[in-house]
Amino acid sequence: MAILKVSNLTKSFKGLTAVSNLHFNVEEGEVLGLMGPNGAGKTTVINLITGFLKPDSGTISWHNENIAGMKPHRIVHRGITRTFQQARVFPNISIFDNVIVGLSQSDQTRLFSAPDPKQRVLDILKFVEMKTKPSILAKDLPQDELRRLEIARAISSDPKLLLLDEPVSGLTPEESDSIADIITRLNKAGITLLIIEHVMRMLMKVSHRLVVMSSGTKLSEGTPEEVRKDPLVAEAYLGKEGEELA
Amino acid sequence: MMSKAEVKGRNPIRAVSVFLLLCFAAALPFLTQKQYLLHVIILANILATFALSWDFLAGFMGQLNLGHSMFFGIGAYAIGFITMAYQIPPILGLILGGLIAVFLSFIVGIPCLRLRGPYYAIATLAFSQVLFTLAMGLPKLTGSEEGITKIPKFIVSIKGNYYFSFFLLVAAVVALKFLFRSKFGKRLISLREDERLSEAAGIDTSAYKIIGAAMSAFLAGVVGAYNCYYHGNVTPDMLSISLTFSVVAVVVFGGIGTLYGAIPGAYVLTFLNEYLYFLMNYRLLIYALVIMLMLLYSSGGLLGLVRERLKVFENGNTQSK
Repeated sequence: MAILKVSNLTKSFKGLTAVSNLHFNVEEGEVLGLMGPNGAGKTTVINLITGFLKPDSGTISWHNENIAGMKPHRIVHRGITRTFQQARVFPNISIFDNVIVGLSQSDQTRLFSAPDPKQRVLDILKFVEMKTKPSILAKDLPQDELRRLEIARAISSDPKLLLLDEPVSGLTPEESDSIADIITRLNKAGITLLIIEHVMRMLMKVSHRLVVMSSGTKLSEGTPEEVRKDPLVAEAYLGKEGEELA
Repeated sequence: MMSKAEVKGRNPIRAVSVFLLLCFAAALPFLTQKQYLLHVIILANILATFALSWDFLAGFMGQLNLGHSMFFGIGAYAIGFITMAYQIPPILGLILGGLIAVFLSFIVGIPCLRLRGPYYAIATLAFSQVLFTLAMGLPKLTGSEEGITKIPKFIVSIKGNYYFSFFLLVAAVVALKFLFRSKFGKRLISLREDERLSEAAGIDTSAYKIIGAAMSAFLAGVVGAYNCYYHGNVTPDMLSISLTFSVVAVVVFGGIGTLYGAIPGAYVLTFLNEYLYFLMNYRLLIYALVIMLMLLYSSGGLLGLVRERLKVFENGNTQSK
């Protein structure tokens, strides 16, 4: 069942069309990868879904409610949260406080059932395998811990759909594998994910389906295997002479 | 993985120091006969409480309000107007002073909501100048430069005022400490850190900004009302830009966003003001110098400087072991 339906979505910036007449669905319980070359409009799509941008036209239907143009915090309350392309945390507050800021109002979430909110924060940090003490300031974290903290903050609000914008950007292959493992565990726990990523290896590994964008439009859609074999995709990434995607 | 106890860093030395300081403050009126000293301490307590309300907004929430004296002044004028017409219990007067400041914060806050950084600062400055001009330009209502005088005193004795001013300051510190430990308080702090990320964390940033500003205004209004009761008058100075810059200097000197920093900052600047009265005309120049020197040598203010020294001392001790 599709929980998010993006229809005819269009967004331009001063005459430059970033997203044009885009259609795709996100099915409940899946990991959907959104890929495409630089400038394809992927981050704009996330910004539109999460209310950080208002579309020029089109609808974003979440459980049959049009959320296009809604304020970001209202969208979070409906169960959609996000991370950012550049890891974004509250730098001058502790790791613990970064997570408690976003903590869901409900007594327990689908993933974390501890009735005490403080214990729930510690459980969330354990889930994302934070190695640093929770009392340390977020600005002192290395890149991979920043990524974990971002995910921890995002899942603290008990999302049904989690949008990750390049979650392994700037990480080593080992660190990327560890984030991929968190993504898989989140998905097994019932969270639907939409992931933008440049690292193909990771995206192919964790995604059930892929949507490929180029110049603001949808180029291809299907399972990782189908997309890998699509000559249009190879052309978008590698040019007309390009071979099949690695 | 950390336990809950490890998340909170408790410092027994700090707790004992605060307790000893409070004991000394409580005993002081019995240790000295100098009424003037107690008067200067009352002024310092009033300034510190007012500075806390500014630090709440600027230091903790990141909202640089350069017209903050309007909340202090409106609380004071509220008492002036009300006591001219009615006899009300002083405690009710203090609360009313706070509530009228809250009302003003809504009037200022709603149109300023979309403004950030310097634009917000300039807009608040403009609002306070409008109120200052009104206070000066409506002599029949406000008494112009003379202000409103002969306001009955809330507490007559200097000792009583000394203890009440301490009560206000300690109550404000304790309330803010609890507030910033709560999830609501941490959400207010998140606005200072990254407003866009706060939105992504599900925070209605507009509502939080309005509520936070109202809480800060309430504190400023209450202390403004108390200041009016203590002096028995209210003048346009209480709405002036120089009063706002006084609290900016106090907080920057003591340590912005530190909660306790406003207290040493207010004491140093009040004692300097009182004992170097001949430099009155150069007050703003001195404030500017204080701010510049502090920013150059310790961006964390006096408290930051002390903390750095303590850290060096503790590290030295650890290494010697």
